[in-house]
Amino acid sequence: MKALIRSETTKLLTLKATWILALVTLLGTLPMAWTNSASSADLPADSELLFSSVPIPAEYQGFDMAGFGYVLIVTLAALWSGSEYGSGNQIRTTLLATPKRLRVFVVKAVLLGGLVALTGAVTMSGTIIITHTAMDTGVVPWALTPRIWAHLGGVTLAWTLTALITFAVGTIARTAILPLILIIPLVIGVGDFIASFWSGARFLPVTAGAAMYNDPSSGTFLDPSTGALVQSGWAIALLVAAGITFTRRDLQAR
Amino acid sequence: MIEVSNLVKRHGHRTVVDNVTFTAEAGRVTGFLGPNGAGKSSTLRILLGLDRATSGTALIGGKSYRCLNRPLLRVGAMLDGPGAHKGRTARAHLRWVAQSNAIPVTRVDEVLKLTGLQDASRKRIGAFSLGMGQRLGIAAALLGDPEVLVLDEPTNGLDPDGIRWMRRFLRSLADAGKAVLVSSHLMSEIESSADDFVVIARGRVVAAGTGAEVKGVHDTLEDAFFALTDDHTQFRAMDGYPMIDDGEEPR
Repeated sequence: MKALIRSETTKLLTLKATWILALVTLLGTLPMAWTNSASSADLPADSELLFSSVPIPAEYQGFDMAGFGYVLIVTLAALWSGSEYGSGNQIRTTLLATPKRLRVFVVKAVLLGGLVALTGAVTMSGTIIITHTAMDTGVVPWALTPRIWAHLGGVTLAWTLTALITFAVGTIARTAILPLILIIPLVIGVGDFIASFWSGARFLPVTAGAAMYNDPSSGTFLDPSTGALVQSGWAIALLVAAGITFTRRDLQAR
Repeated sequence: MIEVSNLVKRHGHRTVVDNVTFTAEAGRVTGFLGPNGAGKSSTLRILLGLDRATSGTALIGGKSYRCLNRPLLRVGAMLDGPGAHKGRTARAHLRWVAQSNAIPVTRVDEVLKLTGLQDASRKRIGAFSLGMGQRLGIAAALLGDPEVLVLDEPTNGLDPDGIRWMRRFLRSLADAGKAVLVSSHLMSEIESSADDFVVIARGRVVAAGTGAEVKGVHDTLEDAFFALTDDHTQFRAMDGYPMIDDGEEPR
């Protein structure tokens, strides 16, 4: 098991896309958080010049910056699942080296979840600290309130669950393309948009997760704990389906 | 060493492996021969735990591949190229394969040298030629210094020098006491290096034994191979280009 964890870690970290996407997530989001909050710092909270003239409560300030990294994290997860397939057909070597397939699947999912959680936690904590430093929100940036920490936990969990959902879809489809087509529209807000006129869309995986770090008073989202449960349900169901497919399928199945 | 018994694989109504039985012994090169689509690769994939058999067994040292712990120490395999991500270097690829079976990473350099890839170790696999890809596949198969080697058409894409190297290399592995099972669709390619032959066509074993046994009444092994598989080739082309004979003198 230790050997498998080592080799899958090597695989993940010798994939160029891993480093590029994780670093761009972090190094792209932080300056954007600065310019975004500094440019609106002098305006009153209800100024018409702001994207939303309804003031956002301080504990939700800065979480709108999660969108940029979210897309990159989904791409990372899709490439991680797709990297086994594609023209190189690495999956054959993987299964020859470790024929106990369930272990392979679990280790892959756990490594991805860990990397995404770490990237998400660092990126979004930095973003929130920068936001409160640049703007006069009444929150001391180096002493965030428990509610803000809860929202940071929420956004990290949402990113991680979405990455696992993407990984599961990619494993079932044996390509990075399908999860990108299915999940990217959701993380750029298609689900949230549909939810604004059809309440059923609040249960879509990414929209349900967004409830964990968005202002519930907007009326678009489920309440945070229901959102967490619904998104976890999606992730568990898809991971179980992907795990069964991965362990039972013939390599050559068409 | 390798023991395949009554192996059957069906895809829906199509039977691709039909009651195949054969063995491959230690210290010998066993050539597994048949035309394209005969069921060679399907048999090898089942033997290596990549596909499931519909019925029958395929065992290595009495065990099925999926039951082996650290299988690379027992069995080295190459099927259809190296099975490597094209974005990695050869060294990075071999490193993760070694780590997966707790093989010391120093072994990576040894197998790179064995297969003549030491100068290409930092090259991205996407930039490899077909022949280099085959060598990388062999390198990965040798990582665990296994006693059994299963190679599916290893000479595909090799230049004449590479083919000669492969023949000698397979021979030296068998001389070192290993069981080598190697598939090919060309009798001429494997004739000189194999000790035993298993000929398969349309999923069935049509002949098995030493060269002399398979050759039988035919002049050469290749004649025997064509006689055995003639009715079973997947795509039949015409024997020659049709001549237009309308009785007129050419203008």
